Amino acid sequence: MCGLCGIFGTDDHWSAAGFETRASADPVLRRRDRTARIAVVNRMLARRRIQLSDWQGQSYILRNLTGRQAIVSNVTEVWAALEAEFGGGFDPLDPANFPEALPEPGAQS
Amino acid sequence: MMRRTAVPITLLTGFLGAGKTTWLARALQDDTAGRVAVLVNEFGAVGIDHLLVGTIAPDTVLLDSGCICCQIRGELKDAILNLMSQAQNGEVPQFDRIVIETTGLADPSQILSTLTFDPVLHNQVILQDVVTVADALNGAALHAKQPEWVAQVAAASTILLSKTDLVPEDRLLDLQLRLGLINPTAQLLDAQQCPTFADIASDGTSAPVRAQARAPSHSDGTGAQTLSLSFDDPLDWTGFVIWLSALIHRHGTNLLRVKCLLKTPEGVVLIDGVGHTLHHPRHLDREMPSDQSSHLVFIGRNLDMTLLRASFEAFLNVKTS
Repeated sequence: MCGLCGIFGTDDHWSAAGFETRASADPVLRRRDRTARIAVVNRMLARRRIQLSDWQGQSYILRNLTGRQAIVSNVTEVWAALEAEFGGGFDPLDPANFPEALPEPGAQS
Repeated sequence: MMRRTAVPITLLTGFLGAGKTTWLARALQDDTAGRVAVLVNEFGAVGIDHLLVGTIAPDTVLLDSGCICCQIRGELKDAILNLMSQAQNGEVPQFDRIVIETTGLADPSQILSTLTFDPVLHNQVILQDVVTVADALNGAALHAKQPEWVAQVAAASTILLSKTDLVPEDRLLDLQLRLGLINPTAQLLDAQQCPTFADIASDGTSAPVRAQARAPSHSDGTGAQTLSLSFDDPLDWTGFVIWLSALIHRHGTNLLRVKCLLKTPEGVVLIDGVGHTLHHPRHLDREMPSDQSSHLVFIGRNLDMTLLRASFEAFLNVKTS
């Protein structure tokens, strides 16, 4: 729980499960897993100019370039916050949202 | 104080009149059933089923104010916690398993959500099996038109075929094929042979092998479609979780079931989800053979399976077969 505002923040969600099946008890590993999740979300949302960042190791903050922001407690809430606060959700089945294909290793650019 | 381990829950579902209570009454009489507490839910104003089961299992509790999935989720939680507290105080006999018999009209995904995500319940109980009783006599012709029936079949870890003695062999094979198309991950048992609780228990790891034998994508005529994917490369676990969370959020209503056996760099993970509800991923203790592929099965309704495959390959950067 955040000592300043009393907001409960837990990683007790399936999306936070690592190799230990639940969020790791090791704070360093938890931070590492959170950073990895944030990086993946940011790659998916790069075209929308919306970025996710960590908030006290408890929650996440979603921001766009105009300063609009929303606090979410796990990555699945990111998608709901996009719909509620940022004027449109993210459809992973929309080809327009697909990432650019990575070049083959060793391919000439 | 000794920490009590989570009590396994078996969710029993199936369309109206499929034979849920009949199978439950038989399974409870079996010597190997152990100590079982039963929660019965009925849609009608006057409950009857609990009287039938109650003669065998004295702990039977009737949840009587409507359908379990939409009206009384709070009551379900209270009933489970109440039962556990009564057992702890010695007011009812101790039990090792809880069976919840739902109404024939219940959508199991709502109940699974209550059991999995309630902050109190999810430390006390663990959902072990979802048993769906499918009526061989009326299943294909009548029940298949009901969206609840398709959702119940898709959510099952075990499907019990009832009334198999009342239909000819060819019709039975046809129904088995349709059930396999809706849910290739479930084990199929004949209710006439009185399977016990031990028979219905599944570790969930054999399922994707059955899916592999079929075409990657198909539709069964009830609107349910299945997509099976296999690939050899280890999967980026974090990337998959984020992609799956976006998929479930956007298309959870149409995604009846997700079941995956994944080979990740850290080990083998089993994922099982129904609708918007996903169980905590399970890591399998046993080593996976090095030549074992990862398998994913998606069961959906009104979902473009070609796009689903393309999306999976694009976001996870893998080639599937």
